This record gives sequence, C-alpha cells and structure tokens, in this order.
Amino acid sequence: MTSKKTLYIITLVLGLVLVGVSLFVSGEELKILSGVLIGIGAGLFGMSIAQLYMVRWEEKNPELTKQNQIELKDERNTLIRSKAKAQAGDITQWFIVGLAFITIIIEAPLWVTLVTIGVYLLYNILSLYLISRYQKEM
Amino acid sequence: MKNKLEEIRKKHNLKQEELAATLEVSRQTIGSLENGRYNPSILLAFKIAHYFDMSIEEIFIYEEEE
Repeated sequence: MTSKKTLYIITLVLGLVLVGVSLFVSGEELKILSGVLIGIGAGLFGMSIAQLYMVRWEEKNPELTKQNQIELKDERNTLIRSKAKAQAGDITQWFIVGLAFITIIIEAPLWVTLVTIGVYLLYNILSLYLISRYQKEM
Repeated sequence: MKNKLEEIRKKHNLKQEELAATLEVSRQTIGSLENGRYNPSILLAFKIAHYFDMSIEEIFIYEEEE
C-alpha cells in the first residue's frame, strides 16, 4: 500500500511540475508543446488525486476492499467481463466498417478513409495474433 | 450441468454469503451455480468439493448432451 502511495505522490508531483514547466514555455512555435504539457500534467495530477483517495479509502475500509478484490477476481465476473469486451469489440468492428463507408460517401479526405480502414485492419490483425498466442499458451 | 450445491449448502446451515466468503467468490456466483446458470471451472469445483469433504461427482452431475 505504501509503495502505491509513493508512486501516486511521485506522479502527482510530476503532474504539477509539467503544468509548472508549461507556464515557462512561451512563444508561438512552442504553443503546441505548452498545450501538451498542460494536458499531460493535468491528467497526471487528476489521476494521482483520485488514486490517492482510493488508497486512503481502502486503508479505512479493509473489509470492503477485500470484498471488492473478491468481486474483481471472481471467475464468473472475469468470464462475464471478457465475454462482454469481446462482443463489444466485434460490434465496434462493424461500426468502423460503416464509418469507412460514410467517409467515402461524404467525400472525406483519403487519409481519413485510410485511417478508418487501418483501424479495422489493426483490430483483425490483433485478433489473429491473440488467437495464435492463446492457442500456444492454452 | 445439474448440481446439488443448494441442498448441500443448506444441510450445512450455510448462507450463500458465508459459502461465497469461504470460497472467495462472489455471492452471485454461488447463486448462479445453484441455479445451474453457470458451470464452475475445474478449480472452483475442486474447491467446493474439498470444502464439503466430498467428491466432485457427488456435487456436480454430468449429463451427456443428446
């Protein structure tokens, strides 16, 4: 628990440092860099605050934390999560195909259509890779 | 797959919550097992059998699919 706390305090400080650095990054050409620093810094800061609050809550509620852990590791819950995610992925895949057709119909720039098709291909390549990996592992 | 889990649990005067806590699974998993909606992994089946000091076949009934 302490190591978790230390990690989140480090990310919290890092977030603040990034936001602080962004204030000193000025000039038109560095505007994008400043925006990126603020974005990452604020994200890290927010995430760290939330995680530190969770660590504190877990320390105060050990019974509920144990129950949450059981719920998370429960084999039926794990199976339900995996099945739901797999089905959501399958459904999303067809939305991406639909999106690719829409980009063609509305005559969007070619790169937009290619990126959409790229995402569809990436999904299928990843699926094949994972199927092959699990076939070797199981 | 049918099972006698509910009957055995009640014989031992256990609530679903108590059995779930002992086996470190959720109460809903015990409920689904008892209703026959969910078939346990071989590990959980062994865990249940060990807990009640019975064999898996005494708790879970395998039926050939027609």
